[in-house]
Amino acid sequence: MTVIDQAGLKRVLPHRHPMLLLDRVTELVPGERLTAIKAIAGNEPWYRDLADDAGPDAYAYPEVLLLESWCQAAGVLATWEHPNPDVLSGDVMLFGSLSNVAFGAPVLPGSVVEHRIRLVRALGDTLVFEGESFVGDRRVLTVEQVLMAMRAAQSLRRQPILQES
Amino acid sequence: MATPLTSPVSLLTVEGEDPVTLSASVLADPGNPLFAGHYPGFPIFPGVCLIECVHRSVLLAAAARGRRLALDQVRSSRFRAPAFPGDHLGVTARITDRGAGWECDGQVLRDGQEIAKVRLRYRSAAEEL
Repeated sequence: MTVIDQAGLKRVLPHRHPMLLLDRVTELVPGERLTAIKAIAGNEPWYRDLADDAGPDAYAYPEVLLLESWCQAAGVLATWEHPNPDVLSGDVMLFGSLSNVAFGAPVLPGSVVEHRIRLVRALGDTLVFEGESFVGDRRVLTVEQVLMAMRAAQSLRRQPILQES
Repeated sequence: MATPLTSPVSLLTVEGEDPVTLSASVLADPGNPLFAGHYPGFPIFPGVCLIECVHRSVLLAAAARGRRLALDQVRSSRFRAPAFPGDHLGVTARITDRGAGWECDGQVLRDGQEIAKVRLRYRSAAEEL
């Protein structure tokens, strides 16, 4: 089942090829949970510079991109009701901090990853998510906590780094 | 290894045995194809690529100590400022041997100031595949 396709994702997320790391959303309960699909392909740019003699484990999908894909799915759940697919104006959803993200077995090209996202709580303009990702019945990612916050697009501009308060 | 980085991580120093401390540098390569989509008209180096900079630095330092590691967990990460195409980024990390794996406290710097703080945990790569 598809409840949001590629065209729909582009109406919600500012990410575009090759950094739109979601293929479709299969379940969406606004303000509560979302399930999304990402198919891993060997022609993604991260595989471009692999040597012909690289061993099988060199083809593991970069862990940080598996996490990015999960976070994009959380971004869809976060902004579905008030989308702003433009990072140049208005408010944008920023990935602020995360804790205890665990990776399972390597994810290889040809795998279809299912991300499961749950909104744990909303504290003002900050949203807290948790969830996991599966390839078939094998868990490949566990996310204890990701925080996202709505911020003015202007905050992404180059500016002096704020000192820790 | 597949990676979203298109410019090499240069390991500058590796010191000690336990903990191991490292410093490295990496360019946020303006030619990286990912900038076309992150974001159109407004390229920003993705936060997860800052994690990748620390991760790749740790793998290089581990190799220099004769160990093969696999990323097990991102224990925590905080992003304080974005990085942009052409930025020269510094990485520092302190890696502690936990027996079954390594724990890494790392940071990414631009112009000497911290833009990301990353804690990673590794397992031995011998069990891979």
